[in-house]
Amino acid sequence: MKFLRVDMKTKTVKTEDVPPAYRGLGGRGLTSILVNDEVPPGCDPLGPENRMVFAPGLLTGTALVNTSRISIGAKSPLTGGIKESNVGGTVPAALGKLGITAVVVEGQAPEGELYVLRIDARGEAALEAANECKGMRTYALVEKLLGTYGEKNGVLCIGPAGEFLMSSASIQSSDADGRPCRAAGRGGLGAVMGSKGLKALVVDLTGKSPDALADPEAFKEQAKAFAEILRKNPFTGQMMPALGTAGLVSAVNSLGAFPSYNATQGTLEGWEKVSGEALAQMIQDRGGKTSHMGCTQCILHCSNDFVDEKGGFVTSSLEYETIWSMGGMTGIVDLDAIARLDRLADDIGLDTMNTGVALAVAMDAGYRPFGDAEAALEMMEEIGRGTDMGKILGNGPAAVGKHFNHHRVPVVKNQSIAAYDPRGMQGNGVTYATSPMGADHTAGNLVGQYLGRALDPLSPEGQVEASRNAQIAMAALDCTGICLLAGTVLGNPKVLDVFLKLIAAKTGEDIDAKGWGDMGIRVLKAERAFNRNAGFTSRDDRLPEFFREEPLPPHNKTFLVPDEELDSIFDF
Amino acid sequence: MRVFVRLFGTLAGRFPDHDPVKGIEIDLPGGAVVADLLEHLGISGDESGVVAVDGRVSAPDDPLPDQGSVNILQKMHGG
Ligand code: SF4
Repeated sequence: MKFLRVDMKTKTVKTEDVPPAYRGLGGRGLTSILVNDEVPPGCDPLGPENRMVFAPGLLTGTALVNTSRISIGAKSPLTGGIKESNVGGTVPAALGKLGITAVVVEGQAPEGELYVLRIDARGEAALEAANECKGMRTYALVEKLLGTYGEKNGVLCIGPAGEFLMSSASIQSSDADGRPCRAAGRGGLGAVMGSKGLKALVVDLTGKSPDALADPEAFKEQAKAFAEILRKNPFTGQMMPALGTAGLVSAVNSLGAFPSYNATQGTLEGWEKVSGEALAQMIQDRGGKTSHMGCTQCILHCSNDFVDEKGGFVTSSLEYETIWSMGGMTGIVDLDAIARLDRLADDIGLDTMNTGVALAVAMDAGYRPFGDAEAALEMMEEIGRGTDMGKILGNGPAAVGKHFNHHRVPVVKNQSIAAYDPRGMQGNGVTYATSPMGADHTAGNLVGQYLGRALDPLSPEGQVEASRNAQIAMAALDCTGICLLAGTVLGNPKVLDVFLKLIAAKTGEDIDAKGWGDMGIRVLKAERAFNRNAGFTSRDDRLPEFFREEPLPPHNKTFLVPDEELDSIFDF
Repeated sequence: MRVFVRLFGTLAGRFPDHDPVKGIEIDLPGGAVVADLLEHLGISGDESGVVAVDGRVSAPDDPLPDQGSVNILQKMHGG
């Protein structure tokens, strides 16, 4: 239970016990509450006053499966509000196994200097000069760092986009095979890292000093029960390993809610060619991996290894949201092209969603035609080189819309929507509009409820309540370090009970379903407070106008949830 | 009546005649409903079959469209 405080100005790292106010917090709870406490809301997100918090979840570093997840928090250069971006890979579990509750990075290195934060097997940390890594793309960077520090290390790093301080810059995380293919994509946190002069964190994976469990026996028993539940559940036990999240391509297109051609259509013509089923078949025929362990201790294996026609590795993991942003929004109905775009995004260090949508807005504005894969690849290379146009594209859809004076820009608080159109899934529109994170599907996704007929996706009725409940549940879940795909089973009260027993066995404090909800509400309140103090009002909790004006085929609906209802969502 | 059924998720693998583009043709007695189709195909509740017709999720007792197409998905969550 310790914080590492990293000062980029003095290049010192201090270790401190977790202050009492932050005990029992982890993941998003810790990042959001700490950012709200310590970051001046009016500060320049790319200035020295912003702080970055890297916090593994409460259960990360324990033996529980699917808990190698970390929340990264700061003030976002994309939204201007608070940001938590979540990622897996190997570093989260490694930090947990070192008993590190959070790494807090403050200040700024002098301009032009670049550093690596190295954390060794004893949890000792130091900043090491890394000017030779300047401008490096992430795959080459990770190879170099693992060469220097050894294979048994995990890396969180930025690519050129982060160094260019672009608003779509991601932080890439190395996977179980040492490739920087997992991304804390959202909110431009890669630019915050770049502004601090921090190129990478390199964390030893062999640490063995996790926090003690309050009740190890109970933990072991419940952890076994939870893993068994995941194995037996049809979604987590069968569909995830078979298709990964790409399985949603068929589902969301079948419901006419797959935003295509910059959100002018709700089904992508030829979606069957980029579906999860087609992807799995293609990977299998070519000898790639249809399922793969992306994050330490994962038993779901939602990840895949996409290979080219000759069987050469292209990227991991091709996921639903990327197939949508790089394929659906751009009209590029070609898995090979989408995979190359995904690889470039990982390598340059970019959020695939914000970037794919930026390309789509440029195409919609007439800069390049929809469906032109070569043009999309060229635009990505421009971002990677940091040309003038590349900088506009790398700053995301809102910057591109402004550049071309184009009105159809599907963002909230400057962050792109995800692969569920608000007109075809009204409740996801509520989440986009009201989440303190900006448009973010992971903040409260209702697709499962629509497929299960619990709610009519096209009617405004009941959407605010459903989104509120989902947002509270997600805010709580994001505190724990459980992967959100594994977390889908928590909707069942009996399973939630098992999970709450795990939290109690770790912390020593009982928690019931109400306490779970209260945890989520506490997080949301801190995030809302930060955003309010940063100048956000209810006018920022709105979708762009075109969602109310332009009906989306095939259902030809607009977004129908009234503003007053949106404004009531957080009347806790 | 006849419906053209496309299966998604892990369901398609169970039906050797299933073509990824065209699906399979299924003949059912006139007036058959969604639940009849699932029963005919042997898709149980555990497999969480979701039947979509015309971009909408159907209820078990909804009628099927004669000569129409039907997508059978599985319940999924977003990631
Ligand atoms: S299911 Fe996917 S995202 Fe979740 S822990 Fe496993 S590999 Fe990582």
